[in-house]
Formats: sequence, C-alpha cells, structure tokens
Amino acid sequence: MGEFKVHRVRFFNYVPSAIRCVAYNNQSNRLAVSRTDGTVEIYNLSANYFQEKFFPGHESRATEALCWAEGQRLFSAGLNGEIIEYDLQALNIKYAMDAFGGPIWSMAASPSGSQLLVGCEDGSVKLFQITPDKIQFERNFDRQKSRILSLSWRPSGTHIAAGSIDYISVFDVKSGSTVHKMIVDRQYMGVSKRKCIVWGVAFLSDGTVISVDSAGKVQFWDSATGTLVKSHLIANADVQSIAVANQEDSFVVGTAEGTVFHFQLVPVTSNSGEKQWVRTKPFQHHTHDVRTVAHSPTSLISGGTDTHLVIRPLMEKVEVKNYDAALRKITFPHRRLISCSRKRQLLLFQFAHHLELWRLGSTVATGTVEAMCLLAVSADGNWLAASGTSAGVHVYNVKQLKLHCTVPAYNFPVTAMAVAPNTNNLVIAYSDQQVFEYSIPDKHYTDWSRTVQKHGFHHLWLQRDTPITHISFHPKRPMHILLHDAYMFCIIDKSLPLPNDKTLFYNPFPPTNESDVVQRRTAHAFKISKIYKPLLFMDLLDERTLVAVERPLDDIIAQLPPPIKKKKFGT
Amino acid sequence: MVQLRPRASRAPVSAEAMVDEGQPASEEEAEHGLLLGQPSSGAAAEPLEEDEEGDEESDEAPEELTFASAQAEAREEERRVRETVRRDKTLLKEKRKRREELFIEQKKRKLLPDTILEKLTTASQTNIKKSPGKVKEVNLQKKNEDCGKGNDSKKVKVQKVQSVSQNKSYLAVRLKDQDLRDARQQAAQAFIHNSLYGPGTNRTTVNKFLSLANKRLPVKRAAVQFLNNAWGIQKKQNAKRFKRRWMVRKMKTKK
Repeated sequence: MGEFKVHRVRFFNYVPSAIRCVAYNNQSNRLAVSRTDGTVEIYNLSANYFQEKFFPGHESRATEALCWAEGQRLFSAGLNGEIIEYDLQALNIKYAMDAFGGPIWSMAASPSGSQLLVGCEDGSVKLFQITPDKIQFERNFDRQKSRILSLSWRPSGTHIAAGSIDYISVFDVKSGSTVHKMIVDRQYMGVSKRKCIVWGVAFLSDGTVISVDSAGKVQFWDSATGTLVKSHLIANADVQSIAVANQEDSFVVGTAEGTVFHFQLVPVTSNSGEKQWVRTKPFQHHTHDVRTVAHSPTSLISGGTDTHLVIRPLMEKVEVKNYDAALRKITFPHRRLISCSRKRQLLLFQFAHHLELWRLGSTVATGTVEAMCLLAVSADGNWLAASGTSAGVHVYNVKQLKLHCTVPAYNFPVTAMAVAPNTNNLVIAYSDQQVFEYSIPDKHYTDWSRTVQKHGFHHLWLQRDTPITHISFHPKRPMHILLHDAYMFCIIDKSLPLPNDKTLFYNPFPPTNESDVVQRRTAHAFKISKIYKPLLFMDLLDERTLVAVERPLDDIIAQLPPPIKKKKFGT
Repeated sequence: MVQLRPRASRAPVSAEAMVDEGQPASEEEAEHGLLLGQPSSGAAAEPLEEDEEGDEESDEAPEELTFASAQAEAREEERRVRETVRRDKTLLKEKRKRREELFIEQKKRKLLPDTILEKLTTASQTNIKKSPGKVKEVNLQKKNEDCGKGNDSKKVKVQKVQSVSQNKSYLAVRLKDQDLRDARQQAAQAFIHNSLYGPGTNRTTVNKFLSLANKRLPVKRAAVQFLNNAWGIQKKQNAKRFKRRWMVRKMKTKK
C-alpha cells in the first residue's frame, strides 16, 4: 500500500442542529425528521437507514410539527404560522399556506388521512380538508383560553384530545364543541408555581387519553367521563413526547433527561383477560432532551437536542435476531459536506448558510448557499454521472451533451460515486454497502466487479452501519480505490485476492514485521484502517499525502444547549 | 304678592286667543291681580326694548304700532333669518364639495396609474382557481371564508391583499403584517425558551454534565473543560496594551 503523510484536520466546526420532530410512515417504512434549523430529512428505514432525501431549511421555517397524510404527502407546521407541503419528487416545497391563527404548535392528520388538524397560539383548533393538490380550510373548533400544544385524533375519527397549559380538552369532531375539560395537576400530589404544560397527548380507541406533561407525569384519563384514571411519575423533569404503536398495545415516551421509557399493555396475571399499562423498559441513549419519539411496528425511534437519531429495534418484535436488531445511532450526515481540490491543496466546507474555503495552511472564507446533489465528473472532463431519486445512474457525454448510458437500477439508493481517472470506470457505493464498478466506455460492469458480486462481500463489511460517503483514486495506481465512511477508511486493491467470510478482515498489525509468507497468506483486497474516526472526509492530496477531516463527538457536544442536571451519589 | 311683568313673546300672538284666555282666567285670578292678557289686551305684543327705551328716554307715550305693521315687520325678520340660513347652508355645501374634490385629487395622485390597477384586478379575478404551480395563490377568497367563520376578535382584522400579475411574478404584501407575524413568532419562541430553559428548570452546563463521570472514576480526573479562558478579559487586554507601550518606550530610550 505504501506509506502516507496525513493532514489531520479537526477545525471543521460542524455542529448538526437538534432534531425537533420525527414522523413515521407505515406504508413506505420511511421516517421524516425535521430539525431546528428548518431542514427536513427523509430516511429510508428499509434501505439500511439511509438518508435519501434532504430539504434544506431556514430558521424562519423552523417546524414544530410534522405529519404524513394519505398518499405519501408530507406536511409541516411551524411558529411562523404556515402549513408547508413538501414535494417529495421534485425535492422542494410545494406551497406554504398561512393558517391565520398565529404560530402553530401542533398538527395531526386524521386516521383516514384526508383531514388535517392544527393547534394554534391563539387557542383555536382548525380543521383543514386535504384536496388532491392543496389543503383547504374547513372550520374552527371551539376556541380555548391558552395555546394548543398537542393534538391527537381518536382512531375512529370522532373525537380529538388537545393538550394545553394546565388542562386537556376533548372535542367532538362533528360539532366542534368541547365535550370535556380535564384539569391537570401542576405537580404530582403537590402544589407548584410553574404552570403544567401538557407536551403530548395520545387518544386510544377505547377512549383512554394518555397525557405527558412538564411535571414528569404520564397520566391516563377516561374521555367518556373526563376523569383521571391513573398517574405515573416517571421523571424529575419534563416528559416531552409520546408515540403509540398501531396495535395500541405499547407506547413510548421521551423525557428531558434523555431517557426513553417503553410502556406496554400487560395482563395482570398470566391467564387473566384484564390488562394494565406497565412501564417496562428505560433506555438512556441521549444526553439532552428527547423532544420527539415515534413507534414503528418493530422499533422505537427517538431524537432530540443532542442531534442523534436513535432507532432501537424491539427484541420481541424482531423475527430474525441478526445484526439488524442492534441499536442504530445516526449522528453524522450521510452526505459529503467537504470537497478537496488536489492541485491547489484546498478544502471546501459546506455549512448551512455559507461555505468556507481553507488552504491547508491558511484560510479564506466566502459566503454562498450551495445545493447538494450526487454528481461525479470524470478526470478528463468527458463524462458526467448523475444519480437522483429515480432508479439508475445516468452517464452523460459532456462533449456532445447527451445521455451516454444508464447503469441498471438497484433497489437501494446510491451513497457515493466517483469516476476513475485513467480507465474511466465509474465506482458506485450503495446504501447496503455494495460497491460496483461500471466501465463507462464499454457500457457494462467490469470483470472485477462481477467477480466481487459472485464472491460476495465479507460479512463484517456488510455490517457497517454508516454509509460510504466518498470514493477517490490514486493517480499512479489504477488498481487502488480509496473509500471511507464515518468510522473507517479502506483502500481496495483490485489486484489482490478477495476475502471470504473466514479470513481476518481487519488486520490488527501493520504489515511491516511479518514475514513474506504470512503476508501473502493473509493479504486480501480490503485494507482497512480505523485510526482516524469519526471521519467526515478523507482524500488523497498527492502521491504521498492524505487529508483526513475528523469531527470528535466531544467537540459537538460542547456546543449544545444545557442539559438537565443529574444528581449522582458522591459528587 | 309680587307682580311680575309678563314677558311679551316675539311671535305675534293672535288677539283672539288672548282675549279667550283672559276672560276665564280673570275670574279666577282677579284677587291675585295677575291677568295674562293685561299688557297685550286688544293689541299685538310690543317688543320689550321699545317699552324700556320709551321709559328711560322720555315720558312720552309709547308709539302707536298697529297689529298689521308689527306683523309685517315680524314676517320680514323671519324671511331675513331664513335667507341667511339658506345662504349659510349653500356656502357650507360648496365648501364641502370643494374639499371632497381636493381629497379625490390627492388620492388619485397617491395610487398607481390606472393601467397597472386594471391589470391587477383582472389577473386576481382569473387566478382565484388556478393551480399554485404556475401562479402564486390569491388569499382573498380564503380570507373571506375565515372572516365569515367568526375568527378571533383580539387581533386586528388585517386586510391582507396579495395580488399577482400575470406577466411579472411579484407579490404585493403589507409590511405591517410581517411585523405582526414576527412579533408573535418571537413571543412564541420566548415562551418555549422560558418553559424549557427559564427559571425553575433544573439545567446545568454541558461542562458540568460531562465532568460528572470524571468525578466518580476510581482515579478522579479533572473536568472536561478545566480551564476557563474567559476570565479577566479586561485585565488581560490592559496588560497587553501596557506591554506594547512599555516596549515602545524602551526602544526609544535605547536609541
């Protein structure tokens, strides 16, 4: 492989923004995530949890609520008072409709998916009808005294629960009038000066309303009589989010201390028909507030101020206990935010609102906004490969400005692409960790690629959970491909034999002291190094130099807002 | 008994009426000496001033004024009064008319030229049902629905007019609306910040949070961010300035 000098770069001050809302779509197994800077990301959970769509945002469009409606339509509402619909094909915003109620705090789609309910700052609950191309205002419900912070539809679509400050109201949908107003205690069996904010409500089909509030309580109410049935005090801080599973036998709540609790409907004794709600599992995967949770059929999803998206598959719901059942924590972006110019020794950092251009040695800052798309240009400038949301990677002939060929479609999205300088081979990495090599002049997959596919990748390679974000090549060694993801970088040597599942994948020792025989026996094509992590970018500057941009997690955490104080014995 | 001099009214009271009243009254009030018809018995009421003047200046007998002449005079007075009132009215009317015209002129000067207004109104009428992909929507219809449903009363009913032109794609909005919206958005953000990070919440700094683990290790370690480089900024700046000046002085004295 050779020896390299490495520029270790740690000054890329990338701080992701906090996650504000998540919304899970059952039919397409996709997750929409919105952050506090207004960006909305869509993750494809079946494609190895890859972020496939990205809507850049602005602080003025910061969302407070996100929901899916029928027909895969995504709506969001925020404090600027507008309801925004996103166009998932064109990757832009279809329209923004002002709700005329002041800042919008909550939004919920009806179980049928054809109506949208919005809770506003002035205490009004507004009903919108979803038409094929827009939404239309239908009517207002009874106006309440304080802002409506959370909404939930009954699965039958007849009633609505709205959580406000110090009380919860139950509305009848047909008439729009309040049926019950349930007053929430400010503190669990006590008096407190601070107002009790009901951060989340959930309406079950048997008429139970579950509420979570800022005093740290989870309470069960009976909506037929408007009375409190059960109260659980689970935290010393706010409980900020709640999500119920479709079967209504479990729900998950997130607290401000970073803990996520799982509640399940469990029979009282082993053969009795009577069931009760029991707090079963606590998960501590976050350090800061968990502002949002979602419940998919097999896993619990949570996100909050510490910017991680945590997907925890539930062991009892997962059929096959393989690597898929492990915890997924998505911290680093799945797109490449850094570009490198080799000759000039420059690095380009992409931020939300500006770009920074750094010379390895000095710095020059500029400011524009750039859109991100997956493109790869060949070194001689003849070919351009583009991958979009549709299947297949298209390769265009730049000189004649027309489509040259299309790489066959694959059922997983592309995470990285690059064109080799001399051979004009297009190397594509997909989100299921498969790597293909396609020859552009010959219009078919190369022989090496076919051998790799037949042989299959090593199981450890396939079990990596971060996608490959950058591929590059050595100018003098056409047999080498350099690629990296967040926790490793790898040089694939096409001339060496491929590893099978039994060989040692990660070579722990540098191959300097071993004898030739041993080296030849254990050598295989994938040379992996895990020295530099977490890695945001790695590239070859020239023949003997590499540049590695790392982003230590501690640096990110140091710039987050304050977390809740935890009292530990002995401190 | 005080004998009050009855006030003679300006309008000519018919003699018959006085006589009629006088007769039945006289029978009742003869003892009081208060006879209504007394001073004007048989004659039209005389103007008071003439009576007084006559008394003050000379002891002559008052003028002989016939009923007809006095009536004619009174009618003349009436006519004159009516004339003045009418003239005043017409003058006022004219004044108001001129004022109105002036205002219309000023308003016209303020508005855009007619051509553009025409274009806007026709464009808005045709675009009400159009899809938003081509042209931006017009909110007038929806606003009317909203008002009709009895939307809230607290905020001022803002006349939001968003109109578009078919040729150029611009949007005409009121700046006041944006300020209102910004103010409300900021109030909402302040509420959320207060409820999550305000007084009464149990928050700590990130440094303390991460250092908690270090405190409980078997070999206790320092905090994650042990140094506080933000202390004494002013002192450090003063020291730097002093050092620079001292160096300059030293250089000067050396030379």
